[in-house]
Amino acid sequence: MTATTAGWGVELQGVTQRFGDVVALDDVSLTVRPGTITGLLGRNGSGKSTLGSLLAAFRRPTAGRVLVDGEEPWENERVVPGVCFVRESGDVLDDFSIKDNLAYVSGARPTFSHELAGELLDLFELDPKRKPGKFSRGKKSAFGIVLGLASRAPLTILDEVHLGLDAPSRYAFYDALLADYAAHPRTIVLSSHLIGEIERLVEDVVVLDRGRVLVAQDAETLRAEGVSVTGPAAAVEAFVAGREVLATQRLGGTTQATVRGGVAEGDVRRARQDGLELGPVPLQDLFVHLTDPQRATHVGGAR
Amino acid sequence: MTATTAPAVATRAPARTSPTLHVARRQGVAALRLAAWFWPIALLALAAVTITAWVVEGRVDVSIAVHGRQALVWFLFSQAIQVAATYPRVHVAAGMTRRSLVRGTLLASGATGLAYALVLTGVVLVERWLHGLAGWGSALREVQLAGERAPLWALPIDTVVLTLLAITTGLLVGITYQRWGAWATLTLPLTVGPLLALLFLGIAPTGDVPGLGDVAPRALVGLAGGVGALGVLVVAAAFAVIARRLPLSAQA
Amino acid sequence: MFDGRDPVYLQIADQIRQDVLSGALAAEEQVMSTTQYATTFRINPATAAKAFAQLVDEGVLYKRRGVGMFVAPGARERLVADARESFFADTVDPVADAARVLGIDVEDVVARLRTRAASEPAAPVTAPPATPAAPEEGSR
Repeated sequence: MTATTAGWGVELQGVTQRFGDVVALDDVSLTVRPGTITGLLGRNGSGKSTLGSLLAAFRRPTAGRVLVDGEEPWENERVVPGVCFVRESGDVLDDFSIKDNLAYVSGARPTFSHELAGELLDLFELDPKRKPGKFSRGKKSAFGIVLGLASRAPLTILDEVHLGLDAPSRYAFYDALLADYAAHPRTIVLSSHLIGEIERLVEDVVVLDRGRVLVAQDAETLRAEGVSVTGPAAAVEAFVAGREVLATQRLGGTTQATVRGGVAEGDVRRARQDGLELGPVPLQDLFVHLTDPQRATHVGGAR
Repeated sequence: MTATTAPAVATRAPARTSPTLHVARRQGVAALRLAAWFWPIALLALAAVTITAWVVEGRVDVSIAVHGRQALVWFLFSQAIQVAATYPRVHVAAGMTRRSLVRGTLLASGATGLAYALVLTGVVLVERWLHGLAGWGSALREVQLAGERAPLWALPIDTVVLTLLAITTGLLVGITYQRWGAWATLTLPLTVGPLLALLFLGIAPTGDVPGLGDVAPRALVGLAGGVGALGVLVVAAAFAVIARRLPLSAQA
Repeated sequence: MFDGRDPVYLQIADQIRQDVLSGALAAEEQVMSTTQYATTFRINPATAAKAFAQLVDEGVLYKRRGVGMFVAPGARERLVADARESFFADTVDPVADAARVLGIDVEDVVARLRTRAASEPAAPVTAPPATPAAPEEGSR
């Protein structure tokens, strides 16, 4: 079967999700561009899984509107077959064989590819006769990946599906994801703690922190926004004055500051003259700085 | 789905069977596999009890198979709890609505209840024939709705009401636990009540109930079957209402 | 020093430019598709596509519809001309600045350059024989 859609977009309008006293999502407004691979980053409990649950109609939000391809997904016969939310826990029939599980899912998803499913089962060395209930964590994750990719859903949300996978399997997953995405473009939301491994895979990045959207922009711009400034303490201080400083480290007379916000061509020249070195900040570091609880609430620029 | 003849044309809308039928079929297959375990064991047990009774008493004048209905009821009940506990998560994650979950589950459950009732009736008939060969009687005791004096054709009707109520009650109990967790225990009197009432209040032969003794067996079966069927509908509706609104927990 | 901060697509474009400049990619030679590029280097296909789009704009690559991306005829010559223009500003000036900071005499630097140039077989600066221009119906 051939995918005919280029992927579904997502829009959240003032979405709040409460679980008793806990606010999992707090007035979140957000757009995911159709056809992109979007990285969904956040610490544990930041609301990533809740967001996925709402998109896949696992639940209805306490307040606000969730739109997938322009419609609310809850009990929506047109939308739900095109949304695939794979959680680390794996929502499969534990006591039925992989073969039975595939029959169950493929009958429900018009875009399902048996061919890709077969290839991925081979890749992750999963025996179709075995039952997921008896799998190790890594094998469970791998089976989730098989279902997530082979479904070829116009909106695919892969939530921490790498857990329990060793490095070679993770890279096999990234390769399979990119290859099938390139051949069958669709919207993929990828959440992972291994930011260093996925930062080059994603086109857009959404950072959630304590139920709020901290950052939502394209990955290149976000990466370019982080600059490390290294040099004599006084010169660094002068350079970063008036900028958003995420972190500062001192070693002897040398200071390294991580600042957020673009650096203009003139700044680069000035930095060179002052003997300062400007360097890139890995997305992982930027993420750690942005979501540091010590930074409390004064986070500007988030939309 | 067959992809044998259709050419791979990108514009062709992919065929999709009705989710309701798809789910009913998958659940039906699963129920058949369980039945393939249940019936051989049940028949072995039936034979063992019959032989024991024959050795002890010298003859067996009642239908043992009808006594076995208790086991059948609780087997179907627990199977339905399992269905209600397992499928909602998997069903929604596979990209289907709760609407099709409810419809497909009730369809498969109805077929299962009907099949078990018919098989049991068949077993009773075979048992009766064997008892006849041995020169024994074959009284139908423990028939809850129809009573001992009821005609034989009342048995499948009587049994199907019981199996359907057992299954729908299991679905209801299972879904209340999915919805409210441990708090669902508080609802047990309500959810299991109708089934228990049918099982144990019905044991009193209906002929003993004041005013019912003179009712013709045919009318009695109709009355009892009607009340039972109403119970099935009410319990199934409660299951549907809860399942249609069921949120899935953040962590499985 | 600014290089590490460059977006990935700029780094990809740069690498392809270097390959064209060094002759590793000849004129009319097909380059990898965005898909191949994405899977080989584990990057988002859109990132690779952005790099290619930039190179098409610059006239380094051109697209043949339904076939793929090819090195444009004359691309190398254009890149050489550009690189020569920026050579003094980008490469020589920082050397002069660094020499001044370190107190190295300019004459010593010049001497070093002379020795180096004499010992190494210089890379060909002249353009290879001109290749016939391919039909460019898919370009731009």
